Amino acid sequence: MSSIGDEPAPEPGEDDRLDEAYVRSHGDLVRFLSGRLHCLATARDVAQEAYLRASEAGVAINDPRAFLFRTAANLASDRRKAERRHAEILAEAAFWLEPEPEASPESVTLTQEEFARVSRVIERLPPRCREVFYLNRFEGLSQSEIAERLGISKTAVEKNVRRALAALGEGREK
Amino acid sequence: MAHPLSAVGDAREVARHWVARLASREMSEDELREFRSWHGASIRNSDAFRDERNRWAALENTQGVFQRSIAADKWRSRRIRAVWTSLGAAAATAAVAVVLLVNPFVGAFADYATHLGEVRTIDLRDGSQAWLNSGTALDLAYSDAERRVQLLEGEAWFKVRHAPEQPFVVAAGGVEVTARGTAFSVARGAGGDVSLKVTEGVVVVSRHGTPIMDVRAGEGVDFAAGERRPEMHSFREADALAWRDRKLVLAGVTLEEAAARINRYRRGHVLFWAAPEQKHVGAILTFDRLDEGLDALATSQGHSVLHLTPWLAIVR
Repeated sequence: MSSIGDEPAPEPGEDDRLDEAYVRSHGDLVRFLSGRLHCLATARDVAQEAYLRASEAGVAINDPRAFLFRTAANLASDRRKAERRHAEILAEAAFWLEPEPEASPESVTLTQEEFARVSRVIERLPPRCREVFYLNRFEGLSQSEIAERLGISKTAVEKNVRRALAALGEGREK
Repeated sequence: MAHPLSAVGDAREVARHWVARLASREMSEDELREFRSWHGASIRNSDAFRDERNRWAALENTQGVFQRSIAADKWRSRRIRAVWTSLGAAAATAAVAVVLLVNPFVGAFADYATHLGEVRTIDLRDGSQAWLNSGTALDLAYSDAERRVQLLEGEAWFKVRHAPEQPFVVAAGGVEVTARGTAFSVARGAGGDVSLKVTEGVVVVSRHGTPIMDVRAGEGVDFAAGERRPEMHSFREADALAWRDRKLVLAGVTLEEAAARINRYRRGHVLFWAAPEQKHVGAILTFDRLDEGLDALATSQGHSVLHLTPWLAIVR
C-alpha cells in the first residue's frame, strides 16, 4: 500500500481502502459517469456522492473500487430517471399553458384597445415586478433562476409574477 | 378532496396561482396532480383557468413593451454613474431620422403625423425640434427621467436640446437610440429594417434593452429585420436628409427603385409595363413636382409614362 503525496501512510482500514480506491480511480469514475450522464459537472457531483454513500454504507466491502462503481452507476440511473421525470413535468406544464387549438384568435390575442391599456399597466408596474415577470414569461427562466439572478427569495419571485398577472388582467373585457 | 386553495378567494385568483406555478418551471409531481384535480373539480375552475391561461398567451405581443420599460429602468439607474459628464456639454443638438413600416391606421392615434408629400417641423416642449418626413407618425412620452419619442411610422430628424439628466431616446421597433448631446438620424424601412445616421457627435444604440454600440458623426448603421449583426455604412447628409428641404436625391438607383422612392411621397402606384433596364439613374426632384420628375427619368431611359388617373401611372 502506497501513501498519497506527503500524507503519512495510514493504518490500512476499511475507510482507508475506500479512500485509496476513490483517489486512484477518480478519473476513471468520472469518465464512466460522464458517459452515462452526458455532463462532466454532474459526473463529478455524482462521483463525489458515490464516495460519500459508500463511506456511509457501514458494510464490509470486499472490492472498494467495484463497490464505488456500482454505487455510482445506481446514482447515475436515479439521476437520469429524475431528469426524465422533470422533463415530463415541464412538458406537461407547458402543455397546460398553451391555448387549446380550437380557441378563437380573439380569446388569445389583445385587441388594439387592450394592447394600449396593457402597455400602460406594464409601464406602471414596479420595476422589480416588471423584470421578474419578463424573465419568467419571455426568457423562460425558472423561479429559482430568477431568484438567484436578482438576489431575492423564491417566494418574492412568485408573488411578483402573480401580482403582474393580476394587474395585467384588470379591467379586461370578458 | 377539495384543494385547500379553493376555499380562498375566487376561482380566478386560484387560476392565476396555478398559471404562475405552471410557469415556474419547478412544479413537483404532487403539485401537478393537485392542479389536475383542482382543474377537473368544477367547470367554474376549468373556465377560470382557461381565461387566465389565454391571458397568459395573449401577452405574447407585449414583449417589446416589457423590453422598452426595462431598458428605461436600466438607463435611469445607469445615469447615476455619470456616463454623461464625460462627454461634456459642448455638443448641444442631436438629429435623428427614422423610417418605419407604413401602417395605415397608426397616424390617427399619433401625437404628430404628416400626410404623404407633407414635411413638417415641430417644436417639442423641451426645446428640441422634430422634422417629420412624408407619411410619418410619432408619439411623445416625456417623463422626468427621459424624453422618449416613439416613431410609429415614416421618418423623422430630431434636433435635440442638450439635457443629459433627461436622456432623449428615439425608439423604432426593437432599436433605441439615445442622444448623448449629439446629432444623428435613424431610419426604419419596409419589413422592419431600421437605419441610423449620425450627423453630429455620438449616440448609443440599444437593442432589446441592451446597449450594443456607439455610433459617431458621419457613420450610418443598418439593422435588417431578423438579422443580429448591424451593418455599417457611410452617407452624405446633403443627400440622405434632403427631404428636410422637400427634395429627393436619387443617385445610383435603378428606375424601379427610383419609382419606389418617389412613391413614398405621393399617393398612387407606378406600374411597369415593360421590365426596366438595371441601368442607374440620378436626379434631384422636388416634392411638388414628383410626377414630372418621374416622367423625365423614364424618358431618359427610353420609356414613356401614361398617367391614367392621379393615382396610377404606367411606365411603358
